[in-house]
Amino acid sequence: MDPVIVAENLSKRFILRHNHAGELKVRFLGLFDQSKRETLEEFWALQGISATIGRGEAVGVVGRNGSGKSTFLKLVAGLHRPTSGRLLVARGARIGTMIELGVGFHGELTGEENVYLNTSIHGLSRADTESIYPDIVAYSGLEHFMDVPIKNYSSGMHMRLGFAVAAKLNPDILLLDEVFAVGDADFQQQCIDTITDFRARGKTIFFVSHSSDAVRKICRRVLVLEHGRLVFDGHVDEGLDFYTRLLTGEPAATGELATEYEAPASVE
Amino acid sequence: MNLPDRRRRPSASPGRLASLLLDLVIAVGSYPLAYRIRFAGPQFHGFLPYALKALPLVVGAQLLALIVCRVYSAERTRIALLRLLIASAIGTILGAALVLWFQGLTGVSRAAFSADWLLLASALGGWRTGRALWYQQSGRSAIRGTMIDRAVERPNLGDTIVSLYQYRELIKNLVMKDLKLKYRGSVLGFLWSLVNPIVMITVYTLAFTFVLRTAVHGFPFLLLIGMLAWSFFASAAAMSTGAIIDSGSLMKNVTFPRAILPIAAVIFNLTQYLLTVLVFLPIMLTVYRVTPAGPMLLYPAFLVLQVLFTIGIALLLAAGTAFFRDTRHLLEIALSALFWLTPIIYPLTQVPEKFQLLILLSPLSSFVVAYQQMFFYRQWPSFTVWAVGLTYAVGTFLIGSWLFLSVEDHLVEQL
Repeated sequence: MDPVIVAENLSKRFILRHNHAGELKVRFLGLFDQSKRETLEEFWALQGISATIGRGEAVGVVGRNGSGKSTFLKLVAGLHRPTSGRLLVARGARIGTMIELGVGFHGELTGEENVYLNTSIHGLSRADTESIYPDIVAYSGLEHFMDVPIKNYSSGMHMRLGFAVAAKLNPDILLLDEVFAVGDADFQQQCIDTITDFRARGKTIFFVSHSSDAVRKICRRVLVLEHGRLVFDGHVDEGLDFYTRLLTGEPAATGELATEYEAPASVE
Repeated sequence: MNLPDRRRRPSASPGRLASLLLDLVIAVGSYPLAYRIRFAGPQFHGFLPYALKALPLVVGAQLLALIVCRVYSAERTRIALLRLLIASAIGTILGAALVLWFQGLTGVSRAAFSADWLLLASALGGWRTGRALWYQQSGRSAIRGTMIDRAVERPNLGDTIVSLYQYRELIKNLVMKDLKLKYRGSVLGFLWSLVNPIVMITVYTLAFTFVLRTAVHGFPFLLLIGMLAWSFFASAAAMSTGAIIDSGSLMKNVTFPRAILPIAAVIFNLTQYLLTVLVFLPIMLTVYRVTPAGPMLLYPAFLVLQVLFTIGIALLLAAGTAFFRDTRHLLEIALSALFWLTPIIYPLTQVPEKFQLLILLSPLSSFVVAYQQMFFYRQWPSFTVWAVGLTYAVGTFLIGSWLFLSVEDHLVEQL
């Protein structure tokens, strides 16, 4: 198997700033009042993660809120820098992220102008965009609205256009974070179909989700994260069972995967 | 946790003595050069012997201050730049005091000391920044066979310049977006950009012709040259403070070279500036019957220098605001002071002679004065203007790039 993402003992530390001294006022008050002084606290979002993801694999990542799923995804995307360990990503692979849809859209610009702006944010040239533009429009189903400013779009239209752009960028590695949580049944079905199609074409998929149904539909392998550590790596059925037991095992958890659940401050 | 701390740097570098020697050479060259900048031609030859006599005292004091302020023990860190700035100031003041003590006032120029300090600080800071950029460039390679290690990847100037070219479509689109947003839906559109300079020039011309009665012949033209160049800089600086912090969702979702955001802000203002110049310059040349002259061909050269300078400042401000939100307010104050320290609404020739050099050393003066010399006086920009402009442009650009790139990875965590 040809690896495209390799994590070795990967860790990420965030510095939490209490009373962030980004303002002069805070610095000044801190001179007199100990409690208003900026204090720094380490927070390890990921600790010692090791996993290898091969080309064409569809891997689901599940875990509670605050377990480090999104941080893992953002490290792979290159949005955050790892603190230690290694994180190898295939060179030259185009990485597509779907974290929020329609990021970078500007309300005053028309749909068409936004598509061109958005694809260039991902590094596409004008010629590249021109060749995929008809696909994007057809895929979003917004043919009649491309010359309308996006501020007049409904939130559903906004999202569909964002998804169409992200899908037609045709990435080699697709990083998805909870994009189905929003949107109606039709839209969710379109997302699932698109991703299934990606998988069929041998693209690598890294899918962060709370929804075990969606994970089961798309992925064969699942990683379970708990408090920044990798606690399970294996077949999707066993993994989701493991995750359900993990949730119900905790007295505070009610066991529903889709519910918002804040991780407790201390473990065990 | 037994993880290596990335912030730790090698504490001792074998090159300390080499750094000290290089600084010595620069300090020895800087003091006579400051005299050369202060005094023109024959005057300079009269003053040179005094300058050379004072040289050992000045250079000695400067190096002593650099050592005492521990510039050499904190090599290769960001704090070293700040220490350098302070140490060179202390050293120069100490040097001036020693010269006055031993030699008295004869042949000693206070303006030359200020120029010496600026030259010294920018040269010492400049080569250190160059070295830091080089280390960023030649850091551990992140490439592992067919893969790239995200933990080792670091932004550097070479890769950033290459990717700026790759992302030229994005820069163009960001500039176009701002232009469209600014003028879409307004009746006068681009004409609004012309109204502001016209009003300013009318008001200042009336004030300086009838109230203060200090205006030179052709004052509106002189004013226009400085005013347009100034508003390009001032609005680019103001816009760049928001370039990073107002693009939070973009920064959290998409990877692209972050430097694009402040650079696009500069290019947007440059575009506006050039369009305005294109309208006003022919009008002024016609109205004041100025025949085109050779020196005007140097306009693009100084424009490039001013753009480099502005990009350096924009990078500093964009990253600075992310870490320190007060930057915006500090900038407002700095801009209003800088406006009066730049010869825009008064010609440099009306400044008392002993302050002329100081005014010329204010960051934006060299560019404004160069434009005035080319278009208004139809002269070639003087040696001093070239020296100051070139130093500020290259120095600011390098320092801005280095500091921006060294914090680029942490910007997203500040939003």
